[in-house]
Amino acid sequence: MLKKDLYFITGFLGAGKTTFMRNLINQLKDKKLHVIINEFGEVGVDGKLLSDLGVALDEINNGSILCSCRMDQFVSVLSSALKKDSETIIIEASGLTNPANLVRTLNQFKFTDYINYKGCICLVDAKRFHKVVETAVVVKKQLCASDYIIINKSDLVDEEKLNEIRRTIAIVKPDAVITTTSFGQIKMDWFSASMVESKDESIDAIQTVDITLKKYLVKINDNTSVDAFTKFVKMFLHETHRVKGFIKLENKIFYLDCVGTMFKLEEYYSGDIINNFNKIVVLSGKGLDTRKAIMDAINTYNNAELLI
Amino acid sequence: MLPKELLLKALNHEKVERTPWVPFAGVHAGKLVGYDATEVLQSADKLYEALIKVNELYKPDGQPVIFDLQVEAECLGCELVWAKDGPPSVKTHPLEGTEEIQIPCKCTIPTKESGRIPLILDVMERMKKSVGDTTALYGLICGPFTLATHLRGNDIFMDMYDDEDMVKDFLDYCNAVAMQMAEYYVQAGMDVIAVVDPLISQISPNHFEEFMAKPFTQLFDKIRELGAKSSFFVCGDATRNIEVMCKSNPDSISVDENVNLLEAKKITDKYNIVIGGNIPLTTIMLHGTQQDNMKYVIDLLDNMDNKDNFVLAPGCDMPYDCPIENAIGVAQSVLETEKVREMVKNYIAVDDEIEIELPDYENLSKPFVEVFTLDSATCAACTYMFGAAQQAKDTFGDAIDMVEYKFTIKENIARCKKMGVKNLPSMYINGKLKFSSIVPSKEELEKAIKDVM
Repeated sequence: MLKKDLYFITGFLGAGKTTFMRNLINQLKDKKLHVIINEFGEVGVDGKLLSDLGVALDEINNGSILCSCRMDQFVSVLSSALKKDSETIIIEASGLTNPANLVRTLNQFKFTDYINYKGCICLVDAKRFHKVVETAVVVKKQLCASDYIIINKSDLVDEEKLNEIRRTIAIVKPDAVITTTSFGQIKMDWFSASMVESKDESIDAIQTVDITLKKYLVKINDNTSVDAFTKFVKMFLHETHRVKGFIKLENKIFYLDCVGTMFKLEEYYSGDIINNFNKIVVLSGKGLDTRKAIMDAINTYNNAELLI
Repeated sequence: MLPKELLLKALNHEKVERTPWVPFAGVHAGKLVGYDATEVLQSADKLYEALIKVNELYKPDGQPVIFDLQVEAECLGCELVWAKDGPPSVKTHPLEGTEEIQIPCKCTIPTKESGRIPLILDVMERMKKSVGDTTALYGLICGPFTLATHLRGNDIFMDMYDDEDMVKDFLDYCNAVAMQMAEYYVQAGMDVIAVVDPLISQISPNHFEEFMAKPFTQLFDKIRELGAKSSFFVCGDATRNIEVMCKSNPDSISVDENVNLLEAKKITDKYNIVIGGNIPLTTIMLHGTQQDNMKYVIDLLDNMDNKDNFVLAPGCDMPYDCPIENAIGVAQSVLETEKVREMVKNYIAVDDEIEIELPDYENLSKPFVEVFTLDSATCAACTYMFGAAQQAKDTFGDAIDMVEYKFTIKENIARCKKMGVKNLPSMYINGKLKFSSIVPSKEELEKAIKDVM
């Protein structure tokens, strides 16, 4: 049996993984692809955003893919993907996944007999890099476990800042191949340099978790106006890493896509039927008073409730 | 009767022919075979070798497999500072700094693969096979309050006034971790689960009843349900909390020299709970002679009217450098009490007095905060008492002076005597005792400092 290529995509919340995935899928469109999307939040958003590309797609939501709580599901989804007739498998891990155990997991479950592991690609948000690398432990773990590091959103910073980011990355992961891009654009020859060595990065490292990473689910009341919703989200945005979801406001469907304090709400046009709208996922981490900020906003605007 | 049977019988509140003895040889085990504290806490083979040596030399009825309260905190993302002569201490607290405690998801509870747990389970299983038939094995878990403090840092002492419900929810998470750890350790063959929570000595009985009674009772019920015996280890001056600790229903309680064991035993006897302790770690075990150790044990036993419901043990984790002959002397004193009584009958301890000059407290140029600890690097209660003082130093900067006196140094023992320091940890401001065994919140301490400015 011919081995299937496997790419693993990582990167912290809001680094631009989903946009990058669209571009990667387009680049590989002459191959039969199977995509596995993982999200930390309960409501899957990224899967929807990629569903128009016509590739086989599985979703693993509500936890990080390599965490013990989702491991069974990961193993079962990957096993079934291997049985299908795809040539290449791409896994997009949640922004909070620590990929340190990936190679060990692939070995442990004998996936390596069927897989040609092409490497771990890590997306980095140039604008927010220094802020998140200092507060979220998982960012360093993602960099350490990656073979290729792509500094995304480079249009938002100057050359000096880019050099600073390169220097920081080089300290964390001296042997990484680093490239720079904007809008998640890619060239496949970035990854063809050499086959990556399937080494187990976690052999000597002990397993720890980042207990500061948390998710909340907020239900927005029907009949909320765009204006009221915008004010509501902006009131707690500074205490979050990422806020996203589909919302129906004034009879239109919107896609909310906030990274850090950057608020983005745009109308969503797709033939797809969105069922699970009006629930937004909020992700937080070290030093963020997220729950309190959400509750303050709920008490102020009275247009939502905290579900989790 | 096998040593293990003797101890378990005592823990069942039955009469036993002699006092059982449990040496808390944690990092000290390493010294017996030439490994430092870090080596013995990070290598299964070295730890196992060291524990077997403890078993041979100290003839224990029961012994702990690892004495490190930072295991759970490490799994949950606390960075540790490692030492050669003591257990590691927690350097970073992942949940500190936010206004409200961000309670972690229960999906983060350590698994058998987390942190150093695989190493510990491996050593537990090996010890069970080698000595488990004759020696009762203790699995030590970090108590929920100390774990909460490791994760949240000194902020927790303020939270207990500002956000009671959140603290209760947070302790519920920490207790879920403790119950899971207890289960892993019982599965690996541990006969006794010791819940080690030194920070309990740093809160009032009211706070205990409000926050701790429920999780601890639940935890001891769980250990009973798992089929193991339980012990509630506390260090520091927990005198005022002995009664409320009894009400949480452990099989036994273990205290250090800050507690008057004979007085505390009157309370534990009332509840039919075993009490363990309390050979002084520093003055007797570390700095004393072998005869000091033997005399201490003989005096303790002779002063105890009712020796049922009692287990002899060091006050807490034995100092790394405790002379081997001292622990052997202790073992002899319980195994051959009559002979040793005869040996130390005419022994008078030598008091090597060191001259200490105290500051002129009446004429200081600025407030002077003095923290007296066992050692802030190794004793968790001391870590957070010193942490509170450090926080104040950061706030006031050059406007105050602050110093820590560790009891591990002989000069400091003399200083404690001269100052009349009765309990550790405690904090003095301008020579006056302000906080004894209760870690002040940031605001309380700042107020106490401002009062003398």
